[in-house]
Amino acid sequence: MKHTIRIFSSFLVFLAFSLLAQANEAYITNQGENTVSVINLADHSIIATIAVGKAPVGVTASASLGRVYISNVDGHSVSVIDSKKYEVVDTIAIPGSPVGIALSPDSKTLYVADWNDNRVLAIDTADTEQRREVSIGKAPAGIVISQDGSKLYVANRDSNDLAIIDTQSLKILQRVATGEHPFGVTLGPDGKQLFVVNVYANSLSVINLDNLESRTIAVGEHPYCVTVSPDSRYAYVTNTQADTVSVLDLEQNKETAKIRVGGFPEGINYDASTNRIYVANWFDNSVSVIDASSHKHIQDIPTGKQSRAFGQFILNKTSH
Amino acid sequence: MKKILALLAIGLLPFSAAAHGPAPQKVEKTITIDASPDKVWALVKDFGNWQKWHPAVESTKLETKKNEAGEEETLRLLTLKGGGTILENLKSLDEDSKQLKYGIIEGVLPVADYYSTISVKAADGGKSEVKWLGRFYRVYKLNPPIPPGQDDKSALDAVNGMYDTGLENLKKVAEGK
Repeated sequence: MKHTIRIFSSFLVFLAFSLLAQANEAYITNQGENTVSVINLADHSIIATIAVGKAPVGVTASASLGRVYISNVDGHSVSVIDSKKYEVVDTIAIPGSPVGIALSPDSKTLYVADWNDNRVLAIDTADTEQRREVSIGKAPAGIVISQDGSKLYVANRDSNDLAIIDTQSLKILQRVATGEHPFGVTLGPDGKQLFVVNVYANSLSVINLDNLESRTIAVGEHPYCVTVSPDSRYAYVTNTQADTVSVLDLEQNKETAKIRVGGFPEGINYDASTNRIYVANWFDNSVSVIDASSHKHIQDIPTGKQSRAFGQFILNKTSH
Repeated sequence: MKKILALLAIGLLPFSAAAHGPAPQKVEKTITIDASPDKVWALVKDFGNWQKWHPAVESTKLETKKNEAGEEETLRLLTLKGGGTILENLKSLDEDSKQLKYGIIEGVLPVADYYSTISVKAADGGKSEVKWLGRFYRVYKLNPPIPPGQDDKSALDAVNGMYDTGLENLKKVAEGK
């Protein structure tokens, strides 16, 4: 009888795994070994390690295209990964130093920030020879696109502002002052607020996109990136020189906890399917996993050398 | 030929200065020392006295100053044996994890935005393991061509040399040899 039960439970486990086959995945850039580690977010196994261009930094993923785009800052290129085959299917040459990378909501346009030439390229994903560009502030870093696709937001690290660009005309509509050295950016889940991390100011700017008013919340040492919970209650910021993640309560407008993670944490994303937060650790060559309900650090997943994962590195495979 | 023209074209593009290039370099070194973690940590955490164990350091001038944010900050000016100085700031000192974090403000090392952690852990047999990690950029902040002495290799060689000679001698001093 016991034996039968055991077989039956094994079957149930098998069934559960089959149902979970379409788990979300994290694409982690490993700058020091020119690879991307693909993590299954249901069981935290490494599905694949994919060779890309030199010094990969940024990531953006499209479920509808089945593609993940990687910016290779020293390779002066973007690697295009097929997320079914886990292999590079195209390499787009980018003159300059590509860092920040993001897709329009319809995945038709890929935006790439060129750090050294102070511009952003808009590339047609169906025909990558088709590209336009806009000159912006000094050292464009994090970039993000509005939910309706009409606006592009660019954090300009060395001019301490956020540029708002009309994606049709590629004209700069406005500049909003941020704290010193803005780097990582993300859009709130409702699309109404923009979050910008100020590296030298040790703070997060929260910008209301209706009236462009902003407030700041203090975080830890030398912060880089930010993600927001699906209910917009909490923001999570990586403090690179404190080896922590600041938990910011956006209703109370303050930091309510610090979670210890790996060394020099950089990229951070919230996975809504599991309610876990994933953090890439540059010093420790790993990804730390945080349980969002308890705000506890629950696991470290070994990845590759110098993990960065700058941008939206989670590919949503469960809701498509 | 096309390639050469492309390279020339890149060389002609106007560049404006960024704080640093986007690809940081990393050096990571560990050493096992036959001495207790407390004994090794006492040497490492003494921010004003690295000349006791680092063979490149001639002397240290330690001072406390207010930084731009108005916070007290501990600084040290290292004078090196071959001449030249390095001004560094103490970022944190954690007794529980036996970890010290510091950065370089300015100095003779061919690096930019240098940040480092050095930590001491207990190892088997009452020994210690010291781990020294650095993150920094080359001096030249723009796209190639890179002037000699300001490239990634120059930066890496300098930090590798500093960590190797330092840890080797830290081991000798802590082990009393």
